[in-house]
Amino acid sequence: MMSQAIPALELHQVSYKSILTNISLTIEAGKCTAIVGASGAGKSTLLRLLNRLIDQTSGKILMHGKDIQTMPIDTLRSSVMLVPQEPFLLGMTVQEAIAYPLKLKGYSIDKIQSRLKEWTERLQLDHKLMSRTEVQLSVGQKQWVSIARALVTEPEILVLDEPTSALDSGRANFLLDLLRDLTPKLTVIMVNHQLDLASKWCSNLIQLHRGQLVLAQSSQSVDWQALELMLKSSVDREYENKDESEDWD
Amino acid sequence: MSVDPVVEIGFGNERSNTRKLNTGEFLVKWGLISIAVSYLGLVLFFPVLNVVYVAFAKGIEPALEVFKNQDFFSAAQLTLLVAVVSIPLNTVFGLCAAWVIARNRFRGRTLLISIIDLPFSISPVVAGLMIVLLYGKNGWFGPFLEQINLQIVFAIPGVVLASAFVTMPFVAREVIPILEEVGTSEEESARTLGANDWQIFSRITVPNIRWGLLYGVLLTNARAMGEFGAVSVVSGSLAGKTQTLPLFIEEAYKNYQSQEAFTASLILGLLALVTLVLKEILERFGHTSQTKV
Repeated sequence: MMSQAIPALELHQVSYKSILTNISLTIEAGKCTAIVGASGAGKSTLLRLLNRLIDQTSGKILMHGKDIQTMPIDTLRSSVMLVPQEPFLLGMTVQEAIAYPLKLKGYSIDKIQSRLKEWTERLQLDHKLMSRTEVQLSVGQKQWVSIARALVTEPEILVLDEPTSALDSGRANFLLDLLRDLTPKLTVIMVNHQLDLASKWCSNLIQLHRGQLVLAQSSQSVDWQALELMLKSSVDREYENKDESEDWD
Repeated sequence: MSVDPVVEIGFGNERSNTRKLNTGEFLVKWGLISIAVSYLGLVLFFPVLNVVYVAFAKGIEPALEVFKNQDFFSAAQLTLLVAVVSIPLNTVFGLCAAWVIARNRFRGRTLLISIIDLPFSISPVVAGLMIVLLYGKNGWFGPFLEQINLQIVFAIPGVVLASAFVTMPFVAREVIPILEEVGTSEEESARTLGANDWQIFSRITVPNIRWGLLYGVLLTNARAMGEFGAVSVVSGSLAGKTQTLPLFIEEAYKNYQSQEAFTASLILGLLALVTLVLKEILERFGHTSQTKV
Protein backbone atom coordinates (compact mmCIF):
# COMPACT_ATOMS: atom_id res chain seq x y z
CA MET A 1 0.00 0.00 0.00
CA MET A 2 1.13 3.56 -0.73
CA SER A 3 0.93 4.69 2.88
CA GLN A 4 3.50 2.07 4.03
CA ALA A 5 6.28 3.37 1.74
CA ILE A 6 8.42 6.51 2.18
CA PRO A 7 6.30 9.52 1.18
CA ALA A 8 7.76 12.23 -1.05
CA LEU A 9 4.62 14.31 -0.69
CA GLU A 10 1.71 14.16 1.73
CA LEU A 11 -1.59 15.95 1.31
CA HIS A 12 -3.73 16.43 4.40
CA GLN A 13 -7.36 17.50 3.91
CA VAL A 14 -6.41 19.74 0.99
CA SER A 15 -9.17 21.81 -0.62
CA TYR A 16 -9.02 24.43 -3.32
CA LYS A 17 -12.07 26.66 -3.78
CA SER A 18 -14.87 24.40 -5.02
CA ILE A 19 -12.54 22.46 -7.34
CA LEU A 20 -10.87 20.10 -4.83
CA THR A 21 -12.42 18.90 -1.58
CA ASN A 22 -10.57 17.37 1.39
CA ILE A 23 -7.91 15.47 -0.53
CA SER A 24 -5.69 13.36 1.70
CA LEU A 25 -3.09 11.13 0.10
CA THR A 26 0.60 10.28 -0.01
CA ILE A 27 2.90 10.16 -3.02
CA GLU A 28 5.49 7.44 -2.71
CA ALA A 29 9.12 8.51 -3.26
CA GLY A 30 10.99 7.02 -6.20
CA LYS A 31 7.86 5.67 -7.86
CA CYS A 32 5.55 6.68 -10.66
CA THR A 33 2.07 7.74 -9.59
CA ALA A 34 -0.66 8.20 -12.18
CA ILE A 35 -3.58 10.55 -11.60
CA VAL A 36 -6.70 9.75 -13.57
CA GLY A 37 -10.18 11.18 -13.76
CA ALA A 38 -12.62 12.77 -16.17
CA SER A 39 -12.24 16.35 -17.38
CA GLY A 40 -13.08 18.77 -14.60
CA ALA A 41 -12.14 16.25 -11.89
CA GLY A 42 -9.44 18.59 -10.54
CA LYS A 43 -6.31 16.76 -11.79
CA SER A 44 -4.46 19.77 -13.19
CA THR A 45 -5.45 21.87 -10.17
CA LEU A 46 -3.93 19.22 -7.91
CA LEU A 47 -0.68 19.35 -9.91
CA ARG A 48 -0.59 23.15 -9.76
CA LEU A 49 -0.87 23.00 -5.97
CA LEU A 50 2.23 20.82 -5.74
CA ASN A 51 4.66 23.50 -6.91
CA ARG A 52 2.60 26.38 -5.58
CA LEU A 53 1.41 27.93 -8.82
CA ILE A 54 -1.71 28.20 -6.69
CA ASP A 55 -2.14 27.78 -2.94
CA GLN A 56 -4.71 25.52 -1.32
CA THR A 57 -7.60 27.25 0.44
CA SER A 58 -7.36 24.78 3.33
CA GLY A 59 -5.31 21.76 4.41
CA LYS A 60 -1.58 21.07 4.30
CA ILE A 61 0.89 19.77 1.74
CA LEU A 62 4.12 18.30 3.12
CA MET A 63 7.30 17.50 1.23
CA HIS A 64 9.53 15.11 3.17
CA GLY A 65 7.48 16.04 6.22
CA LYS A 66 7.96 19.81 5.75
CA ASP A 67 5.07 22.17 4.97
CA ILE A 68 5.64 23.52 1.44
CA GLN A 69 4.11 26.86 2.48
CA THR A 70 7.06 27.45 4.78
CA MET A 71 9.71 26.48 2.19
CA PRO A 72 11.43 29.11 0.02
CA ILE A 73 9.57 29.06 -3.31
CA ASP A 74 12.84 28.66 -5.31
CA THR A 75 13.79 25.58 -3.31
CA LEU A 76 10.35 24.06 -3.78
CA ARG A 77 10.25 24.72 -7.53
CA SER A 78 13.71 23.32 -8.15
CA SER A 79 12.70 20.16 -6.27
CA VAL A 80 9.20 19.84 -7.73
CA MET A 81 9.31 20.54 -11.48
CA LEU A 82 5.94 20.86 -13.20
CA VAL A 83 5.53 20.32 -16.94
CA PRO A 84 2.21 21.91 -17.92
CA GLN A 85 -0.01 20.38 -20.57
CA GLU A 86 0.44 23.30 -22.95
CA PRO A 87 4.10 23.51 -24.04
CA PHE A 88 5.66 26.98 -24.55
CA LEU A 89 9.18 27.83 -25.68
CA LEU A 90 8.73 31.38 -24.38
CA GLY A 91 10.05 33.01 -27.56
CA MET A 92 13.32 31.05 -27.46
CA THR A 93 15.04 28.52 -29.68
CA VAL A 94 14.97 24.87 -28.55
CA GLN A 95 18.54 25.13 -27.22
CA GLU A 96 17.85 28.39 -25.36
CA ALA A 97 14.60 27.00 -23.95
CA ILE A 98 16.26 23.86 -22.55
CA ALA A 99 19.12 25.90 -21.08
CA TYR A 100 16.75 28.55 -19.62
CA PRO A 101 15.97 26.93 -16.23
CA LEU A 102 19.67 26.19 -15.74
CA LYS A 103 20.50 29.85 -16.47
CA LEU A 104 17.87 30.89 -13.95
CA LYS A 105 19.62 28.68 -11.39
CA GLY A 106 22.87 30.54 -12.13
CA TYR A 107 24.77 27.52 -13.48
CA SER A 108 28.09 28.12 -15.26
CA ILE A 109 28.21 27.89 -19.07
CA ASP A 110 30.30 24.68 -18.87
CA LYS A 111 27.77 23.03 -16.58
CA ILE A 112 24.88 24.15 -18.77
CA GLN A 113 26.59 22.77 -21.86
CA SER A 114 27.40 19.42 -20.28
CA ARG A 115 23.81 19.06 -19.00
CA LEU A 116 22.45 20.01 -22.43
CA LYS A 117 24.70 17.46 -24.13
CA GLU A 118 23.75 14.71 -21.70
CA TRP A 119 20.00 15.25 -21.90
CA THR A 120 19.71 15.96 -25.60
CA GLU A 121 21.49 12.63 -26.14
CA ARG A 122 19.34 10.77 -23.64
CA LEU A 123 16.17 12.20 -25.17
CA GLN A 124 17.49 11.70 -28.70
CA LEU A 125 16.85 15.33 -29.61
CA ASP A 126 18.00 15.91 -33.17
CA HIS A 127 20.75 18.56 -33.53
CA LYS A 128 18.81 20.12 -36.40
CA LEU A 129 15.99 20.93 -33.98
CA MET A 130 18.18 22.88 -31.57
CA SER A 131 18.13 26.17 -33.47
CA ARG A 132 14.40 26.04 -34.29
CA THR A 133 11.86 28.36 -32.70
CA GLU A 134 8.34 27.67 -31.45
CA VAL A 135 6.63 28.30 -34.80
CA GLN A 136 8.93 25.80 -36.54
CA LEU A 137 7.99 22.88 -34.27
CA SER A 138 5.02 20.52 -34.16
CA VAL A 139 2.99 20.28 -30.94
CA GLY A 140 4.61 16.90 -30.23
CA GLN A 141 8.10 18.36 -30.67
CA LYS A 142 7.23 21.27 -28.37
CA GLN A 143 5.96 18.82 -25.76
CA TRP A 144 9.21 16.84 -26.06
CA VAL A 145 11.26 20.03 -25.60
CA SER A 146 9.26 21.05 -22.53
CA ILE A 147 9.87 17.60 -21.00
CA ALA A 148 13.59 17.91 -21.84
CA ARG A 149 13.61 21.37 -20.23
CA ALA A 150 12.25 19.87 -17.02
CA LEU A 151 14.52 16.80 -16.99
CA VAL A 152 17.67 18.83 -17.59
CA THR A 153 17.19 20.45 -14.15
CA GLU A 154 17.30 16.95 -12.60
CA PRO A 155 14.47 17.58 -10.13
CA GLU A 156 13.58 15.36 -7.22
CA ILE A 157 9.91 15.19 -8.17
CA LEU A 158 8.72 15.48 -11.77
CA VAL A 159 5.07 16.45 -12.22
CA LEU A 160 3.73 15.90 -15.73
CA ASP A 161 0.33 17.02 -17.01
CA GLU A 162 -0.66 14.80 -19.94
CA PRO A 163 2.96 14.29 -21.08
CA THR A 164 2.09 11.92 -23.91
CA SER A 165 -1.00 13.69 -25.31
CA ALA A 166 0.78 14.98 -28.43
CA LEU A 167 3.40 12.22 -28.77
CA ASP A 168 3.21 9.27 -31.14
CA SER A 169 3.18 5.86 -29.49
CA GLY A 170 6.90 5.28 -30.17
CA ARG A 171 7.93 8.52 -28.46
CA ALA A 172 5.43 7.97 -25.64
CA ASN A 173 6.86 4.51 -24.90
CA PHE A 174 10.41 5.87 -25.14
CA LEU A 175 9.59 8.60 -22.61
CA LEU A 176 7.90 6.24 -20.18
CA ASP A 177 10.81 3.78 -20.47
CA LEU A 178 13.21 6.60 -19.66
CA LEU A 179 11.13 7.72 -16.68
CA ARG A 180 11.07 4.16 -15.37
CA ASP A 181 14.88 4.07 -15.63
CA LEU A 182 15.11 7.36 -13.73
CA THR A 183 13.08 6.09 -10.79
CA PRO A 184 13.87 5.35 -7.91
CA LYS A 185 16.05 8.50 -7.91
CA LEU A 186 13.17 10.45 -9.41
CA THR A 187 9.57 10.58 -8.19
CA VAL A 188 7.13 10.91 -11.06
CA ILE A 189 3.54 12.13 -10.82
CA MET A 190 1.60 12.22 -14.05
CA VAL A 191 -1.88 12.94 -15.23
CA ASN A 192 -2.60 10.56 -18.06
CA HIS A 193 -5.78 9.88 -19.96
CA GLN A 194 -4.25 6.81 -21.58
CA LEU A 195 -4.99 4.15 -18.97
CA ASP A 196 -3.01 1.48 -20.79
CA LEU A 197 0.14 3.59 -20.39
CA ALA A 198 -0.63 4.44 -16.78
CA SER A 199 -1.25 0.77 -15.91
CA LYS A 200 1.94 -0.35 -17.64
CA TRP A 201 4.39 2.21 -16.24
CA CYS A 202 3.03 3.59 -12.98
CA SER A 203 3.13 1.65 -9.77
CA ASN A 204 0.51 3.72 -7.98
CA LEU A 205 -2.82 5.14 -9.03
CA ILE A 206 -4.92 8.06 -7.83
CA GLN A 207 -8.40 8.64 -9.15
CA LEU A 208 -10.28 11.90 -8.75
CA HIS A 209 -13.92 12.50 -9.45
CA ARG A 210 -15.50 15.94 -9.26
CA GLY A 211 -12.77 17.22 -6.98
CA GLN A 212 -12.83 14.27 -4.59
CA LEU A 213 -10.42 11.41 -4.09
CA VAL A 214 -12.13 8.13 -4.97
CA LEU A 215 -9.15 5.79 -5.29
CA ALA A 216 -5.50 5.72 -4.15
CA GLN A 217 -3.80 2.37 -4.37
CA SER A 218 -1.09 0.25 -5.95
CA SER A 219 -1.54 -0.34 -9.69
CA GLN A 220 -1.30 -4.09 -9.20
CA SER A 221 -4.48 -4.15 -7.16
CA VAL A 222 -6.49 -1.98 -9.54
CA ASP A 223 -9.14 -3.54 -11.73
CA TRP A 224 -8.13 -1.60 -14.84
CA GLN A 225 -11.03 -2.76 -16.98
CA ALA A 226 -13.58 -1.66 -14.39
CA LEU A 227 -11.72 1.64 -13.99
CA GLU A 228 -11.78 2.25 -17.72
CA LEU A 229 -15.51 1.61 -17.84
CA MET A 230 -16.07 3.89 -14.85
CA LEU A 231 -14.03 6.70 -16.40
CA LYS A 232 -15.79 6.30 -19.73
CA SER A 233 -19.20 6.57 -18.11
CA SER A 234 -18.14 9.60 -16.04
CA VAL A 235 -16.75 11.24 -19.19
CA ASP A 236 -20.09 10.61 -20.89
CA ARG A 237 -21.94 12.07 -17.91
CA GLU A 238 -19.65 15.11 -17.91
CA TYR A 239 -20.37 15.56 -21.58
CA GLU A 240 -24.11 15.39 -20.99
CA ASN A 241 -23.93 17.79 -18.05
CA LYS A 242 -21.26 20.08 -19.47
CA ASP A 243 -23.54 23.13 -19.38
CA GLU A 244 -23.89 22.71 -15.63
CA SER A 245 -20.17 22.21 -15.05
CA GLU A 246 -18.27 25.40 -14.20
CA ASP A 247 -15.05 24.32 -12.57
CA TRP A 248 -12.71 23.22 -15.31
CA ASP A 249 -9.19 22.58 -14.23
CA MET B 1 -35.48 41.71 -72.63
CA SER B 2 -32.68 43.93 -71.25
CA VAL B 3 -29.50 42.52 -69.70
CA ASP B 4 -27.52 44.42 -67.04
CA PRO B 5 -24.00 45.34 -68.12
CA VAL B 6 -21.41 43.46 -66.08
CA VAL B 7 -18.15 44.53 -64.54
CA GLU B 8 -15.39 42.09 -63.64
CA ILE B 9 -13.53 42.48 -60.39
CA GLY B 10 -10.57 40.43 -59.26
CA PHE B 11 -6.93 39.86 -60.07
CA GLY B 12 -5.49 37.89 -62.97
CA ASN B 13 -6.34 34.24 -62.88
CA GLU B 14 -7.69 34.07 -59.34
CA ARG B 15 -11.02 32.70 -60.49
CA SER B 16 -12.40 32.38 -56.97
CA ASN B 17 -12.02 36.14 -56.45
CA THR B 18 -13.66 37.03 -59.72
CA ARG B 19 -17.34 37.85 -59.57
CA LYS B 20 -19.54 39.79 -61.92
CA LEU B 21 -21.22 42.89 -60.48
CA ASN B 22 -24.52 44.10 -61.90
CA THR B 23 -25.14 47.83 -62.45
CA GLY B 24 -26.81 48.33 -59.08
CA GLU B 25 -23.95 46.74 -57.17
CA PHE B 26 -21.44 48.68 -59.25
CA LEU B 27 -23.13 52.00 -58.42
CA VAL B 28 -23.36 51.13 -54.73
CA LYS B 29 -19.67 50.16 -54.63
CA TRP B 30 -18.41 53.33 -56.32
CA GLY B 31 -20.96 55.49 -54.50
CA LEU B 32 -19.60 54.30 -51.14
CA ILE B 33 -16.00 54.77 -52.27
CA SER B 34 -16.81 58.33 -53.44
CA ILE B 35 -18.46 59.21 -50.12
CA ALA B 36 -15.48 57.86 -48.14
CA VAL B 37 -12.90 59.64 -50.33
CA SER B 38 -14.86 62.96 -50.30
CA TYR B 39 -15.22 62.80 -46.53
CA LEU B 40 -11.51 62.09 -46.02
CA GLY B 41 -10.63 64.87 -48.46
CA LEU B 42 -12.84 67.47 -46.78
CA VAL B 43 -12.03 66.53 -43.20
CA LEU B 44 -8.39 65.46 -43.46
CA PHE B 45 -6.43 66.12 -46.64
CA PHE B 46 -7.61 69.61 -47.69
CA PRO B 47 -7.29 71.17 -44.20
CA VAL B 48 -3.74 69.81 -43.89
CA LEU B 49 -2.81 70.96 -47.39
CA ASN B 50 -4.33 74.36 -46.64
CA VAL B 51 -2.14 74.73 -43.52
CA VAL B 52 0.95 74.01 -45.64
CA TYR B 53 -0.26 76.40 -48.37
CA VAL B 54 -0.99 79.32 -46.01
CA ALA B 55 2.27 78.79 -44.11
CA PHE B 56 4.27 79.20 -47.32
CA ALA B 57 1.86 81.56 -49.17
CA LYS B 58 4.23 84.53 -48.88
CA GLY B 59 7.35 82.47 -49.48
CA ILE B 60 9.78 80.54 -47.34
CA GLU B 61 11.47 83.49 -45.60
CA PRO B 62 8.32 84.96 -43.99
CA ALA B 63 7.38 81.43 -42.91
CA LEU B 64 10.73 81.07 -41.16
CA GLU B 65 10.20 84.34 -39.27
CA VAL B 66 8.45 82.36 -36.53
CA PHE B 67 11.77 80.81 -35.55
CA LYS B 68 12.97 84.28 -34.49
CA ASN B 69 10.10 84.49 -32.01
CA GLN B 70 11.30 83.60 -28.50
CA ASP B 71 7.74 82.74 -27.39
CA PHE B 72 7.51 80.11 -30.14
CA PHE B 73 10.70 78.45 -28.93
CA SER B 74 9.49 78.55 -25.36
CA ALA B 75 6.14 77.00 -26.40
CA ALA B 76 7.89 74.27 -28.40
CA GLN B 77 10.19 73.48 -25.47
CA LEU B 78 7.27 73.25 -23.04
CA THR B 79 5.32 71.04 -25.47
CA LEU B 80 8.25 68.61 -25.63
CA LEU B 81 8.70 68.74 -21.84
CA VAL B 82 5.02 67.90 -21.35
CA ALA B 83 5.38 64.88 -23.66
CA VAL B 84 8.63 63.76 -22.00
CA VAL B 85 7.02 63.80 -18.53
CA SER B 86 3.55 62.47 -19.48
CA ILE B 87 4.82 59.46 -21.44
CA PRO B 88 6.86 57.69 -18.71
CA LEU B 89 4.33 58.66 -16.06
CA ASN B 90 1.38 57.20 -17.93
CA THR B 91 3.36 54.23 -19.26
CA VAL B 92 4.21 53.10 -15.73
CA PHE B 93 0.70 53.83 -14.47
CA GLY B 94 -0.92 52.25 -17.55
CA LEU B 95 1.12 49.05 -17.21
CA CYS B 96 0.36 48.72 -13.50
CA ALA B 97 -3.36 49.42 -13.99
CA ALA B 98 -3.58 47.06 -16.97
CA TRP B 99 -1.88 44.27 -15.03
CA VAL B 100 -4.13 44.71 -11.99
CA ILE B 101 -7.29 44.79 -14.13
CA ALA B 102 -6.40 41.99 -16.56
CA ARG B 103 -4.84 39.57 -14.08
CA ASN B 104 -7.19 39.92 -11.14
CA ARG B 105 -10.89 39.62 -10.45
CA PHE B 106 -11.94 41.80 -7.53
CA ARG B 107 -14.85 43.87 -6.31
CA GLY B 108 -14.75 47.34 -7.86
CA ARG B 109 -12.93 46.19 -11.00
CA THR B 110 -15.57 47.66 -13.32
CA LEU B 111 -15.49 50.90 -11.33
CA LEU B 112 -11.71 51.06 -11.75
CA ILE B 113 -12.03 50.58 -15.52
CA SER B 114 -14.61 53.39 -15.62
CA ILE B 115 -12.33 55.68 -13.60
CA ILE B 116 -9.46 55.03 -16.02
CA ASP B 117 -11.81 55.94 -18.87
CA LEU B 118 -12.87 59.19 -17.17
CA PRO B 119 -10.40 61.43 -19.08
CA PHE B 120 -11.90 60.06 -22.33
CA SER B 121 -15.47 60.83 -21.36
CA ILE B 122 -15.02 64.11 -19.53
CA SER B 123 -14.54 67.42 -21.42
CA PRO B 124 -10.89 68.59 -21.25
CA VAL B 125 -12.09 72.03 -20.12
CA VAL B 126 -13.87 70.43 -17.15
CA ALA B 127 -10.68 68.45 -16.42
CA GLY B 128 -8.75 71.73 -16.36
CA LEU B 129 -11.32 73.29 -14.03
CA MET B 130 -11.07 70.31 -11.67
CA ILE B 131 -7.31 70.88 -11.40
CA VAL B 132 -7.86 74.59 -10.73
CA LEU B 133 -10.45 73.78 -8.05
CA LEU B 134 -8.06 71.36 -6.36
CA TYR B 135 -4.67 73.02 -6.72
CA GLY B 136 -5.57 76.68 -7.34
CA LYS B 137 -5.00 79.46 -4.81
CA ASN B 138 -8.52 79.04 -3.41
CA GLY B 139 -8.65 75.28 -4.06
CA TRP B 140 -8.56 72.41 -1.57
CA PHE B 141 -4.80 72.06 -1.58
CA GLY B 142 -4.21 75.79 -2.21
CA PRO B 143 -3.16 76.79 1.33
CA PHE B 144 -0.87 73.77 1.68
CA LEU B 145 0.80 74.43 -1.70
CA GLU B 146 1.29 78.07 -0.75
CA GLN B 147 2.94 76.95 2.50
CA ILE B 148 5.48 74.80 0.67
CA ASN B 149 5.85 77.53 -1.96
CA LEU B 150 4.76 75.34 -4.89
CA GLN B 151 2.64 76.88 -7.63
CA ILE B 152 0.74 74.40 -9.79
CA VAL B 153 -2.03 76.41 -11.48
CA PHE B 154 -0.79 79.02 -14.00
CA ALA B 155 2.62 77.33 -13.85
CA ILE B 156 4.44 74.50 -15.62
CA PRO B 157 3.45 71.76 -13.07
CA GLY B 158 -0.21 72.52 -13.85
CA VAL B 159 0.38 72.17 -17.58
CA VAL B 160 2.12 68.84 -17.04
CA LEU B 161 -0.60 67.65 -14.63
CA ALA B 162 -3.39 68.53 -17.07
CA SER B 163 -1.61 66.76 -19.94
CA ALA B 164 -0.92 63.71 -17.78
CA PHE B 165 -4.61 63.59 -16.82
CA VAL B 166 -5.99 63.68 -20.37
CA THR B 167 -3.45 61.09 -21.62
CA MET B 168 -3.89 58.70 -18.68
CA PRO B 169 -6.05 56.00 -20.35
CA PHE B 170 -4.12 55.37 -23.58
CA VAL B 171 -1.49 52.83 -22.44
CA ALA B 172 -3.84 51.00 -20.05
CA ARG B 173 -6.60 50.82 -22.68
CA GLU B 174 -4.25 49.38 -25.32
CA VAL B 175 -2.59 46.86 -23.00
CA ILE B 176 -5.61 45.47 -21.07
CA PRO B 177 -7.17 43.55 -24.02
CA ILE B 178 -3.79 42.09 -25.03
CA LEU B 179 -3.03 40.88 -21.52
CA GLU B 180 -6.51 39.33 -21.32
CA GLU B 181 -6.07 37.62 -24.69
CA VAL B 182 -2.61 36.11 -24.10
CA GLY B 183 -3.69 34.74 -20.72
CA THR B 184 -1.34 33.47 -18.04
CA SER B 185 -0.19 30.10 -19.45
CA GLU B 186 3.18 31.34 -20.74
CA GLU B 187 3.87 33.30 -17.56
CA GLU B 188 3.03 30.22 -15.46
CA SER B 189 5.27 28.09 -17.65
CA ALA B 190 8.19 30.43 -16.91
CA ARG B 191 7.28 30.46 -13.23
CA THR B 192 7.47 26.66 -13.03
CA LEU B 193 11.00 26.89 -14.46
CA GLY B 194 12.05 29.14 -11.59
CA ALA B 195 11.68 32.61 -13.14
CA ASN B 196 10.89 35.39 -10.66
CA ASP B 197 8.34 38.16 -11.18
CA TRP B 198 10.76 40.59 -12.84
CA GLN B 199 12.17 37.88 -15.15
CA ILE B 200 8.62 36.89 -16.16
CA PHE B 201 7.66 40.52 -16.79
CA SER B 202 10.72 41.36 -18.88
CA ARG B 203 11.05 38.04 -20.72
CA ILE B 204 7.40 37.03 -21.26
CA THR B 205 4.94 39.85 -20.55
CA VAL B 206 6.69 42.78 -22.26
CA PRO B 207 7.39 40.91 -25.55
CA ASN B 208 3.72 39.85 -25.63
CA ILE B 209 2.32 43.35 -25.11
CA ARG B 210 5.02 45.33 -26.91
CA TRP B 211 2.93 46.46 -29.89
CA GLY B 212 -0.04 47.53 -27.78
CA LEU B 213 2.33 49.29 -25.40
CA LEU B 214 4.05 51.08 -28.27
CA TYR B 215 0.74 52.17 -29.76
CA GLY B 216 -0.43 53.43 -26.36
CA VAL B 217 2.81 55.41 -25.90
CA LEU B 218 2.49 56.96 -29.37
CA LEU B 219 -1.13 57.96 -28.74
CA THR B 220 -0.10 59.43 -25.37
CA ASN B 221 2.62 61.42 -27.10
CA ALA B 222 0.30 62.71 -29.83
CA ARG B 223 -2.38 63.78 -27.36
CA ALA B 224 0.11 65.29 -24.87
CA MET B 225 1.61 67.51 -27.57
CA GLY B 226 -1.75 68.50 -29.05
CA GLU B 227 -3.84 69.01 -25.89
CA PHE B 228 -5.57 72.40 -25.79
CA GLY B 229 -8.67 72.54 -23.56
CA ALA B 230 -7.36 71.38 -20.18
CA VAL B 231 -3.99 73.08 -20.65
CA SER B 232 -5.71 76.34 -21.67
CA VAL B 233 -7.69 76.48 -18.40
CA VAL B 234 -4.80 75.47 -16.12
CA SER B 235 -1.95 77.42 -17.70
CA GLY B 236 -3.47 80.86 -18.12
CA SER B 237 -1.68 80.85 -21.49
CA LEU B 238 1.20 83.04 -20.32
CA ALA B 239 3.36 83.68 -23.40
CA GLY B 240 6.93 82.48 -22.94
CA LYS B 241 6.04 80.83 -19.63
CA THR B 242 3.10 78.42 -19.65
CA GLN B 243 2.16 78.49 -23.31
CA THR B 244 2.37 75.21 -25.24
CA LEU B 245 2.37 75.08 -29.05
CA PRO B 246 -1.43 74.69 -29.41
CA LEU B 247 -1.93 77.74 -27.13
CA PHE B 248 0.73 79.72 -29.04
CA ILE B 249 -1.04 78.90 -32.32
CA GLU B 250 -4.42 79.99 -30.96
CA GLU B 251 -3.03 83.31 -29.69
CA ALA B 252 -1.17 84.04 -32.90
CA TYR B 253 -4.29 83.30 -34.93
CA LYS B 254 -6.46 85.54 -32.72
CA ASN B 255 -3.93 88.35 -33.12
CA TYR B 256 -4.15 88.04 -36.92
CA GLN B 257 -0.58 86.68 -37.12
CA SER B 258 -1.75 84.04 -39.59
CA GLN B 259 1.72 83.37 -40.96
CA GLU B 260 3.11 82.53 -37.51
CA ALA B 261 0.00 80.57 -36.55
CA PHE B 262 0.10 78.37 -39.65
CA THR B 263 3.87 77.83 -39.54
CA ALA B 264 3.64 76.80 -35.89
CA SER B 265 0.71 74.53 -36.84
CA LEU B 266 2.89 72.97 -39.48
CA ILE B 267 5.64 72.32 -36.93
CA LEU B 268 3.13 70.73 -34.54
CA GLY B 269 1.73 68.69 -37.44
CA LEU B 270 5.24 67.57 -38.36
CA LEU B 271 5.90 66.46 -34.77
CA ALA B 272 2.74 64.33 -35.00
CA LEU B 273 3.89 63.03 -38.36
CA VAL B 274 7.26 62.03 -36.88
CA THR B 275 5.32 60.04 -34.27
CA LEU B 276 3.27 58.28 -36.95
CA VAL B 277 6.32 57.54 -39.10
CA LEU B 278 8.10 56.14 -36.04
CA LYS B 279 5.12 53.88 -35.37
CA GLU B 280 5.08 52.65 -38.98
CA ILE B 281 8.84 51.94 -38.92
CA LEU B 282 8.61 50.05 -35.65
CA GLU B 283 5.58 48.07 -36.85
CA ARG B 284 7.35 47.12 -40.08
CA PHE B 285 10.50 46.24 -38.16
CA GLY B 286 8.42 44.06 -35.84
CA HIS B 287 6.62 42.45 -38.76
CA THR B 288 9.92 41.70 -40.54
CA SER B 289 11.48 40.14 -37.47
CA GLN B 290 8.36 38.02 -36.94
CA THR B 291 8.42 36.87 -40.57
CA LYS B 292 12.10 35.96 -40.22
CA VAL B 293 11.24 33.84 -37.17
